[in-house]
Amino acid sequence: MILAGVFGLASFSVAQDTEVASLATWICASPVVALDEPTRQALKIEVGSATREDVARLMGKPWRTSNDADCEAEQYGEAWEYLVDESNGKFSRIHVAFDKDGKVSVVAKIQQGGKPVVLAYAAEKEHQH
Amino acid sequence: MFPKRNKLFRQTLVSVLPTISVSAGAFLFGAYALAQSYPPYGPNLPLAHFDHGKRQNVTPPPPNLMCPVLSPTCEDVRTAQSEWNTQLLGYDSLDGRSTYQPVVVHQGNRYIAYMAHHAGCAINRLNLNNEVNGTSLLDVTDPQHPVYLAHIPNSPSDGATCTGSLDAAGNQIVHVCGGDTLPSSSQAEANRKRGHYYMLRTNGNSSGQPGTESHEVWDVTNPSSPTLLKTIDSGATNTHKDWWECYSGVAYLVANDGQASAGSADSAPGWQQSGSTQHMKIYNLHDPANPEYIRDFGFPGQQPTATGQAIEGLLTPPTGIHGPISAGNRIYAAYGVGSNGVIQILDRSKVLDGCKAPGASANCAKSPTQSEMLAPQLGWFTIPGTSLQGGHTSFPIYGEEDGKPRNLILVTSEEGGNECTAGSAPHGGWLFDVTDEAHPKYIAEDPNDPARTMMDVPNGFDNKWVGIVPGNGVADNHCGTTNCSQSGIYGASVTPQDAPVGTNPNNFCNQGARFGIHSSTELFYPPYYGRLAILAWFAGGLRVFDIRNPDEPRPVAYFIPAPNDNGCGPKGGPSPGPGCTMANTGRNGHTVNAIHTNNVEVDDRGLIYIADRAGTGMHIIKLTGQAAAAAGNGNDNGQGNNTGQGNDDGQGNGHGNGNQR
Repeated sequence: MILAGVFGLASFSVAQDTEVASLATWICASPVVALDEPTRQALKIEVGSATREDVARLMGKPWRTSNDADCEAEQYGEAWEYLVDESNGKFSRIHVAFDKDGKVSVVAKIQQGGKPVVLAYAAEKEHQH
Repeated sequence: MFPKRNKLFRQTLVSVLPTISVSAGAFLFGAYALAQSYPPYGPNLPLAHFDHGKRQNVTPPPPNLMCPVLSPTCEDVRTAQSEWNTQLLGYDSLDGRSTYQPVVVHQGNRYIAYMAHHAGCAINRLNLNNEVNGTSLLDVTDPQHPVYLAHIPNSPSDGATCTGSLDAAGNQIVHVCGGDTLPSSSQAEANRKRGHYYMLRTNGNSSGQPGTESHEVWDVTNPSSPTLLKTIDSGATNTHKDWWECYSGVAYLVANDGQASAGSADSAPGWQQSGSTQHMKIYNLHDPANPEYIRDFGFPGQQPTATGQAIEGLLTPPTGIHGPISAGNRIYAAYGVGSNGVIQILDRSKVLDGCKAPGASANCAKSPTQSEMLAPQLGWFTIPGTSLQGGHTSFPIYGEEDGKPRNLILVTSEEGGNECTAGSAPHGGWLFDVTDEAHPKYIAEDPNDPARTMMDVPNGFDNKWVGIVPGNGVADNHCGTTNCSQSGIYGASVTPQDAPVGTNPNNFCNQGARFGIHSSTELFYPPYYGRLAILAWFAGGLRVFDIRNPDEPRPVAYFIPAPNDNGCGPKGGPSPGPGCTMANTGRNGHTVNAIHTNNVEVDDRGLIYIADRAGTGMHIIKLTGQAAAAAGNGNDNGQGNNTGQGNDDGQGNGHGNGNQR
């Protein structure tokens, strides 16, 4: 099951910190109403099928990357991050996680103060070690 | 830089610095001048003094939370900085690089921290270049003001780039030896090494692309300007948790040989493992520029010629090694990482010299016979939970009790899944009595704990277990107690995100990342040796247990760092906000940028260093209160049959909500 964009989800339960937010909800909650260009590009990433090359084509070179897998092949934690200048003195991060097949599994936006909002994720690719 | 939530701490720290500097001086900086003579830097083994003390088992206070109560106006599920009998002294962001292992070396008149990174890329603050993660070197002589000296990027031989696959990158493991400690075979060699320091590191991620990895030795005499000295085992695969005896030069490298290393004189192809595909490749690196290959070794049944059913262990072929630790004439090897764990006790001299013995087979070094594999083995045992728990770290503790020898091994597994994966067991730490090496005995069992150990951390912030169901009951007779194969497992409904939605409380399993044990400290420094088990618990942070009475360990301290929500640079730059802590994704797409304490180590001043897998950085921590008392720094009534209260005024330092029960 792929939950991409999740535009249809209206019940963003903040009490339970269910961070798969509808874009509309997220925009309403954000102090910046207008979508920045990196976020617009991030929303084009096809979760479950996009590759590293696809992400680089859309988003450019990442600001920071990580793969914290160590000694077991099934442990795989590659993620790319992009800094977003919100033009109000604040920054946010676009977080793109890959599965071990090299396909995007999660796209999230991490706002100032640390709050991540999942823009899309591939449910079948969550960690199962 | 400290995270915002540490403002009060910063102010407090400034106001009490004179007091800290005076009182800490004796404890932190003066008492352990001879500590470098202990493994791995020297051959002297400290002796632990175990007792039968009945000490009060204090329930740890709940951690501080970003939102004490989740609500529409406060929805941050994460833990905030939380201290119980600990105090944060210093911090560095490490430029936001995911970090595996810290090692701190008393190097000349300075203390140098070597921080070994997972794969990745980040901006080096010193040159503003985006560099592939390697090793960060910091001067931590003043623990309150770490100075970032250098970043040695991952060597490009493994093909890692900042926009390609990171599958082969990273330098997760590091060890450092002094040239004056390493033995020499000639005066010329001794002269050449005099005053020098050498860093051994893995080059390449152990889950990486076949044939692209290696080990490297760097000359780090000037830690601000390291130089590459030698590449070892080029073309290897699956490098991981090595061990280097500085006093002998013997290095137990964890790796496997692949097609790319076939041309090397020390290549030993064909070793077989289940799980993590790695075994030991043993060298003498007394002269790091001229490695001397000794042999390959592992668990019986892993040698290239092994066939059929394994005669020992849990799987055929037996699970791969995670890492060895040597001390005295023993090697303690942990196999299995996070599942099917086996711990092996080896006669070190028989491992090192076995292939030189009369009658050794012609290809003993690279492809020993089964009898040559069995000859050095003194004992082995499994871990409670059997298939659900692995051998990650096996740290020996030599001691006495009632005037008689009592030797233990502290064993950890590794939690490998995010947010307490359904069907997995809580991963904990265990103590085994190996006084009789042929008959290891499991001690400190808690049959009511899902991991059956007194060294475990409940997943609830209220110290309750959430969502544990009865686990496996695989028949097993090797862990030392009758029912040790039993283990609880996490159910399908543990976090608030799980169905039925909203019925589970916020807890450690709701932090996006792993929650469970990963490792223990591995250096033999007093004052903690045999007194405290100092453990890294991922989302649970640093965890400390009092093991002076090893039959009844008890929790005495923890430290959970705050996530870095400010910026990756040491002062918020050069990489601007919003923070360094990377996100992990757990159940049902739940993505959280929470703390992920990966490894922990001590230095010979008694300071504790933790490294964060999610890129939060390095924290330098001091024990206080009851934990410091347990380490002998204070009135703890002579370590004997005391009440366990020591001189702990107020049970910590005011950050644990103070509601100890």
